[in-house]
Amino acid sequence: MDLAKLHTKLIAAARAHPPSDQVPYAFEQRILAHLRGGQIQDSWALWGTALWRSAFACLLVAVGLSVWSLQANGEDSHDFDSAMVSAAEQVVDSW
Amino acid sequence: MEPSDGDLIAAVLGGDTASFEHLVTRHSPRVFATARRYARRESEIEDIAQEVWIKAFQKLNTFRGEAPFEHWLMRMCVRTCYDFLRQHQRNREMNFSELSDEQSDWLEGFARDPDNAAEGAEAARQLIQRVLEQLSPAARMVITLLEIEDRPIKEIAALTGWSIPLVKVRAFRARAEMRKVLARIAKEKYL
Repeated sequence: MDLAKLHTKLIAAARAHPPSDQVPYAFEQRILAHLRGGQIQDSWALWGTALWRSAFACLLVAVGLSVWSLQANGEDSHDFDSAMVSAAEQVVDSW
Repeated sequence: MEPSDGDLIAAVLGGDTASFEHLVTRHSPRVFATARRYARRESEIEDIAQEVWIKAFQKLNTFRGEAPFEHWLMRMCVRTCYDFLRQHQRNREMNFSELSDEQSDWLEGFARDPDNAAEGAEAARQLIQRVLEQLSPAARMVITLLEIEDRPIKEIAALTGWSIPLVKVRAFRARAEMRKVLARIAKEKYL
């Protein structure tokens, strides 16, 4: 079999049968509906992003407050310790 | 008078999404004809066309208007078809002994008298379709654009995003790949 000729014949057959350019019914409306749906989804995505950002800001504030309160507690506990030790010393002296 | 593509694009970019519908109506026949070259099932063809239009909408702000909108859209369409071929390239190996009676008859007629084998026959169309389905995505794309659609190398490079030397290399390999597939048909059929 002449493969080169078969190649040429089959390519000619493909050229002789161009594909249809028919568009399904209401295709453009489906595309528009899809795009509008996508826009609605995008607004939800924006809302989600804003929510995550605010959550992150809240977390930062919470961490900051925790650090500050720990430091403050550290000073208080030092005062508390010295008050307790002095009380204990007074008890020892009284014996 | 119908608004031009440029007017419609400006309206869409200005926030009038409804104007996009006119662009879809105007250019969808070419998108569907292109998609039908690479996909067989109507559901797949519609998926490709839908993907092309969604990409076009999302990237419309990158259209600079230096070339016609149709050229820009066809680039997007060809690249989407290529992605489709790459995603669906498994199960390409098939047995040519499964050819229908009409396809076998056409091949036998060609073997007897190559010059008089009818190119317009439906069996020949089905046969080339089956041969193209055996090719790798790049080979199928090049054979379709270069030999079936008869486009120049430079245009294929612009459509696919490949360099001109790469198109030439892929065209050379595609022809070799197609020769192999045709040789396999001849071997399975006549040995």
